Amino acid sequence: MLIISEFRKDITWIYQFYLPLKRRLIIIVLLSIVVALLSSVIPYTFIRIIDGIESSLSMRYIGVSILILLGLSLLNFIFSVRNTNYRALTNLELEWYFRQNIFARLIKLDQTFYDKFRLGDLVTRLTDDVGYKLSWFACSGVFRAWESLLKILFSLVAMCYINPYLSLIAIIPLPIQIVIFSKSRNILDKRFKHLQQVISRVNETIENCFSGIRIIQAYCMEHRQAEKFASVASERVDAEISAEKAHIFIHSLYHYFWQISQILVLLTGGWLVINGKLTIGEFVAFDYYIGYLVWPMFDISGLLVGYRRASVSIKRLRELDEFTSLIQSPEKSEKPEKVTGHLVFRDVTFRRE
Amino acid sequence: MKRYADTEDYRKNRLEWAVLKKFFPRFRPYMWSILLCLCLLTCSALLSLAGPLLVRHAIDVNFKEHDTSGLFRTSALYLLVLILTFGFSYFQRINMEIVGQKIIRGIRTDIFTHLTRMCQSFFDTHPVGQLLSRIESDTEALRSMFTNTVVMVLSDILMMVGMFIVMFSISFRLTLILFFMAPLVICVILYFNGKIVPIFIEVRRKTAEIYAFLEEYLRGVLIVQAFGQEENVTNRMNYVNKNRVVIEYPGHRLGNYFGHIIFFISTLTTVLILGFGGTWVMKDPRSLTIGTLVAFLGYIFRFFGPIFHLSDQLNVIQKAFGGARRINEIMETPLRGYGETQMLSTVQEKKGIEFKNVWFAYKDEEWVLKDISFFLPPGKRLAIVGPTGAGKTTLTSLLFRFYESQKGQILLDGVDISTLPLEILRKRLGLVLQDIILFPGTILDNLRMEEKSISSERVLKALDVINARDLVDKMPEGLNSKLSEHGDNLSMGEKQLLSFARAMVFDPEILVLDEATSSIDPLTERKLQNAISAILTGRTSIVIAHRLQTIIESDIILVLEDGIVKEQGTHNELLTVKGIYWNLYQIQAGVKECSS
Repeated sequence: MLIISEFRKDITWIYQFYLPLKRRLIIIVLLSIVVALLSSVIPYTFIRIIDGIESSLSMRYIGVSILILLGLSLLNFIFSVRNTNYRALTNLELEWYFRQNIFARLIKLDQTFYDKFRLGDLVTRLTDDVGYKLSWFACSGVFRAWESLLKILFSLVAMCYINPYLSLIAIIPLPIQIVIFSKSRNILDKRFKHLQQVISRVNETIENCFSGIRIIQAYCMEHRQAEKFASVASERVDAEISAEKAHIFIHSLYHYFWQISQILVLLTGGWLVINGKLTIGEFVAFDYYIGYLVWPMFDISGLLVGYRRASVSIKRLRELDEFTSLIQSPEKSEKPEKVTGHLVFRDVTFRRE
Repeated sequence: MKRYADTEDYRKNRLEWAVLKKFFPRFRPYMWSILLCLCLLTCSALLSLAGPLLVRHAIDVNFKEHDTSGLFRTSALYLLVLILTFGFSYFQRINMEIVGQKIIRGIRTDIFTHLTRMCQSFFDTHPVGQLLSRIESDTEALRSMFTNTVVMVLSDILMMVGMFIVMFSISFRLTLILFFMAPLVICVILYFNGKIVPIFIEVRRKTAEIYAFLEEYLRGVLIVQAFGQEENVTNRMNYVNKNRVVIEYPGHRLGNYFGHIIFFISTLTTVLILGFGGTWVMKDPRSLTIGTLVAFLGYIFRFFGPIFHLSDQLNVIQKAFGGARRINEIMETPLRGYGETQMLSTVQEKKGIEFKNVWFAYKDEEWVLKDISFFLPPGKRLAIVGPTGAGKTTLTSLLFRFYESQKGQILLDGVDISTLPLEILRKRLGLVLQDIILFPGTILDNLRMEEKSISSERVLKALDVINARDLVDKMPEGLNSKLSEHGDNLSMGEKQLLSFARAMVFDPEILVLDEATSSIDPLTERKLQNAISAILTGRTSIVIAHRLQTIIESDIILVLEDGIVKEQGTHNELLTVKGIYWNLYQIQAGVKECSS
């Protein structure tokens, strides 16, 4: 339940930034359908071509099939390049909106906020967190995965059309992949979060040292700062390695598990070919589909891993966004007609938190 | 229009191996790990070529001969290849990541250490945000190249060479078709690379601007708010922020076109292979089998991937070279005063401080100090007064060798300070500034500047000397109480007290107070005066002050104006001259009378 509620909060937070880009995002969603459809039809043409060659059909028949392949690829090129450009522009604009929106809020917050958050940490959140980890995820991560999901779906439909039995065998690794990811989610979460915290600490150390460099040099304490930096840098190396180990393992496992499908297709598809239940063209198309689906599968795993990474960044940014300033401007204020400079402090008491 | 190759950016970012060569010694301790990675990489790259060959074998042999057990063996072999590729690739990536991270940690720490020893003029021209970007982004670019790009490029080259060998051995004619497409691919790579690289260099510059902007304005947020400039600053941020999008998007667009064109060329190659290969298979199935044709399709799929990576990685390589060059520039900047080996006798005769015809300019011939000469005997107090911009702080900065004077000499106990190692010089000096610098951490760490060998007893004693013990006692955890960034959880007076206490902890022979009490109220200043008297008694000291009441007791008063010593003497002597000092004194006395 907690996970769902956190996910909902993350999505709600991102959604406000999607609103100004609504029209373009709809175009991306629609273009993704066209691209996925075209990409999934292309391997299907191999059946005609290979079976035509295998059965020594006329060159005209094979030529037409090859021209269909070329035409589909050209259409795919046109739509896909347009869609990728839209996504790239949206990534950049989202990064701009995220940073701008948070900065506009931070600049108005009172000193209690700056007592709580250090400068190095704030700069990290507004650059490292907002950058690739979040902005790329918010558009390319999500919409590429959408395109990939459609590609998988359409390809599965095409594969079922060729041979439903072989399709079932080919997707055996899919549930295992889902289990792998759901089991590894917490590990990734924890490690990415720790890494972001350590990066902030490194930036803070750099920022503090060079802001006070005159006094550090005056007291000959450069070596102490170097030791302090070496210590946080080592902490960072440990955190980076730990996060990368988990990331590489899960990513590789995900990637190679899907390739098991290729072996299953070779074994089962081969058996069907030997028994005359599948043509070589259909077998090649199946093999091509499986090989071709590696990248969409990668994108889906990228989305899942990317979401864990982005989720950590979203939480760090939401923390800034949700900070309530102790000093609030009244919702409605009366503007004095004339400023006289008459200033009164009445029974004012103050203590620092 | 200027060609990119003729620009300064091109010079700064061109790929010169000499730039990277300087990093090679850092690889030496990890040679065995790197060799192991290379072996694993070669194995996984070559194994990944086996897939299409196994499919070819299945089609041409197992399918044709209706050999089910043979098909099972081929599939089992495929599985073994897959498991081995996974194992080799996983361990290689982890090993390379560990090596890369460790090497980069070394580089990061060295840059940081080197930067902490740079002279003040360097920090005057390099904002903190930019230094952060140097230590973070430039080293990150190098890491990305070491751990990802080098591995990927090597693996791609190995795969392409391997693929050519395999393809030539199974069909010379079909490989020639692939060769026929090569010039087209090279033209596309060269065209797009020339266009994309300059854009991403500009993007890096814009990114550094964002870092610097955030750093500067979030640091000065109080001033921004005090002057009601939030709206203006937000608009400026919007400009800097949006500017990057405007510059970066064309780069991404070109990159996308490049990727898609390469992909389309791969489809064209497939079409050609199917067209020609299909004809040859149909004409003479013995000279070219359907299995070989299918294997070729598999290799085309694999062949264009590396090309796409290769050009994609060119940007990463360029970025890394740019970063490496900037890192080298920092590391090669000589550190004045560090490691100088002037031998000094341990017991030196105290001769005081002497400035002899000292001239200094921050830039060219714009002299800030002109022909400054004075002598301060040991144990005496020198006060420097004068209007803002007269060169008072610059003068004391020269004593610390934060800057080097262009002409003249500064002697400490008769020794020219430019011949002294900085550590020996600065260990004799102490500094209290008007801008109080406190670091996040405990009070104890701030007062002893992270020098763990200084005991807390010594710190408490220093606090006693300046009557500031109660400040620490009232804190919840005493000396171990945490301070906010820049000590923002303390009042200005409290911060300044800590600043004095820090000086006392180090108990320097010579103390410089640079308008140390200017930012505190007269009452706190009066309280501090006792502490200051305790600190300064019998100690050689230089005090910069605007309030003349605080320097009346000084042994020598120097009146600076426009970088020139206009008057010099004791308080009474200067009053008799009735010059600038007398004037200043009269004005301040008048103000005092008025306000009372």
